[in-house]
Amino acid sequence: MVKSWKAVLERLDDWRWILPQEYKPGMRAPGMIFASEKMLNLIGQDQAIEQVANVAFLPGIVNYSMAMPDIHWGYGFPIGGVAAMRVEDGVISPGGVGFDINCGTRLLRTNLSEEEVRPRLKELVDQIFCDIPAGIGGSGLVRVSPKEIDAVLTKGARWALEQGYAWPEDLAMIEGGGALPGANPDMVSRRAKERGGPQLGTLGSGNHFLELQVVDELFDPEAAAVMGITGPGQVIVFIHTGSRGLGHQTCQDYLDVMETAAERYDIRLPDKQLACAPVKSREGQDYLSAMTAAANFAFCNRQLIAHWIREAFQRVFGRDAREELGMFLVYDVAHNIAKIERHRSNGREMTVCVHRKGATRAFPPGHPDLPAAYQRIGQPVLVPGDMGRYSYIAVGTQQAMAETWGSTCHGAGRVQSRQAAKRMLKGVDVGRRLAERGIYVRAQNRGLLAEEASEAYKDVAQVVDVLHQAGISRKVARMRPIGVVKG
Amino acid sequence: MAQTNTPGARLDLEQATRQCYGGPVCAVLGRIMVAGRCNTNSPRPPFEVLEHTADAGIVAHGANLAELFANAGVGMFALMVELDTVQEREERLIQVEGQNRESLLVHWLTELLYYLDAQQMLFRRFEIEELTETGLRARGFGDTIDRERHQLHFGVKAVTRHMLEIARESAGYRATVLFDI
Repeated sequence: MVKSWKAVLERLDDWRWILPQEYKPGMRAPGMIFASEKMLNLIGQDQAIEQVANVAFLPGIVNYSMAMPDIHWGYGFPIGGVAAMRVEDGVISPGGVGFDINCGTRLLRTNLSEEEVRPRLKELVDQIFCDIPAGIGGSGLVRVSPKEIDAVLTKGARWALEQGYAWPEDLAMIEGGGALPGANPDMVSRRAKERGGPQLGTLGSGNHFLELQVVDELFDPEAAAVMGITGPGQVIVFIHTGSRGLGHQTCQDYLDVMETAAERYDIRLPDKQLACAPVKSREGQDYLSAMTAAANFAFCNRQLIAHWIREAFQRVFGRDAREELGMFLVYDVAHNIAKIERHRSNGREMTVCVHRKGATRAFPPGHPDLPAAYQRIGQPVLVPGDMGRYSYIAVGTQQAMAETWGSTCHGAGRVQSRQAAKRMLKGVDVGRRLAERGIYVRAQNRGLLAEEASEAYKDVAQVVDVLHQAGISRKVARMRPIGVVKG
Repeated sequence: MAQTNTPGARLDLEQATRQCYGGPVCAVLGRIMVAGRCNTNSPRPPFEVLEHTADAGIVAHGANLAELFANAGVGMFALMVELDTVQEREERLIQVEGQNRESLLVHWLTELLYYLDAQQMLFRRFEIEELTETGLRARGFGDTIDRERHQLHFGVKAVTRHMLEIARESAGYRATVLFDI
């Protein structure tokens, strides 16, 4: 039975719904869900709202247990969940980050127009498909020794720069400069390093992708221009992947640690998967430094992939990726991460541990953590949709800083299981259907395309619109895919 | 909402399993479905695929715990590869520990993912040599990934603890595991 959440939730305005603290005894804060009334019906169909209530049990939570409109059921935390805990007496939870630590998105722009790319589209996508390992068991083109892995975990994308896989200006355009401080490779298990080692510079499978997209509408031409997004017809590259087996194993390792820790610190939880430890405890600090190391691995992973994409463009077009094709990095941002940040709430400065699980940082104009280029417009937010429709660029706002710890949505979210999507599209050649619409797809397994078809996902436009209307992140541009690489 | 960890829903799951076993009928359990992997020659299929909106899982069956753990391992690889395309060319000795049965199952399946990621191993069969409440030693048989020969599906990122359960059933044991895809 689907619970009637509307009877429980209090409507604050058209985009905000409060889950009262009294909903469940033990909640330390109320919940807040960003959604339109229409979306709420869909959100209420799984256990995501119950999970919003469960997150509110965590010690040290400040203001609200929040959920973005792309919220759906996750492990412990809902996907699309945002929660900040006071560092002095709050907790950190691996479930608030997820298995794919620093799963995130990256956008490269080009000087090419759709007309220029169309005649070479197939060749270009084939080249990228050939150059960047994807799918199960894809091994990276770089071989790193155990010692080098430690350097990757500490230096993140900076390691890639030192090895010749980055341009110097790339680093400033990555969240945290592509190398978050506080990473400790010694806190990452040997098993995790052995899983991740062969996978550095690989895409993976599932919903991860590489897409060639065409800008098809600008909502804020001024902000777009600052990002080098000039107007409809421009080709850009969208990358979505994370920390591969290294991150998955790190999360798994610390779920065990936290289960014991939660008992030791007598933290009572409605769901074991919210297992956590005080931020300041040894367990909390160990996880934080291991998670940060895994996040750096992911920044490096996306950097290597971007490098090979630049090379693929160079090969196909016979032009220099930098001087002639202008393939500069617009931004790279995490959407599965926990970070210690300074925020101002209820009139006072505080240091909190912000958990963003399936949520993207969206810092406002003028924030000291943003590169000089984006001081005036705010941080670019990259929101992928599905391979048949569109993706978005947005920017962070002061409202996000005041209300959501500088966070916004991360994508569309599934509405259909993989099996259901396959059943629904039985007999449909999804690759051909996309080709008829001018989208050329390469996938390790074409049978999997049905599982990732548009029908399986929510409409990301609705998600982005809610946050635009609520003032949390402002729409800048919409892009549609023309070339897709899937694992 | 129906959940497999509530007694009522457990009946649903049993029923779904029976229906599935008897034919192509699938039962909806809230937002979770059991899809057919039907084997009409044995009282229970070794495993069934559990559907979930965001991810996927399995319900494994076994006459005893050793068979249950082996079938859970095979079931996880069946999500990732067409098992008929995998030959037994390689062998690995696998040893894991856990605090209890459930944690042992998570560690066992996670260790198999380690062999997949670190050594490209696809397993299609297991021989459980020793199994206690907190320890397991097994031999895994399979092959290293070859894209020419193996028909691969999606990868499993991780073994979750959501709805994780090992329970008795009429013909032995049942394990429910959801994976992060």
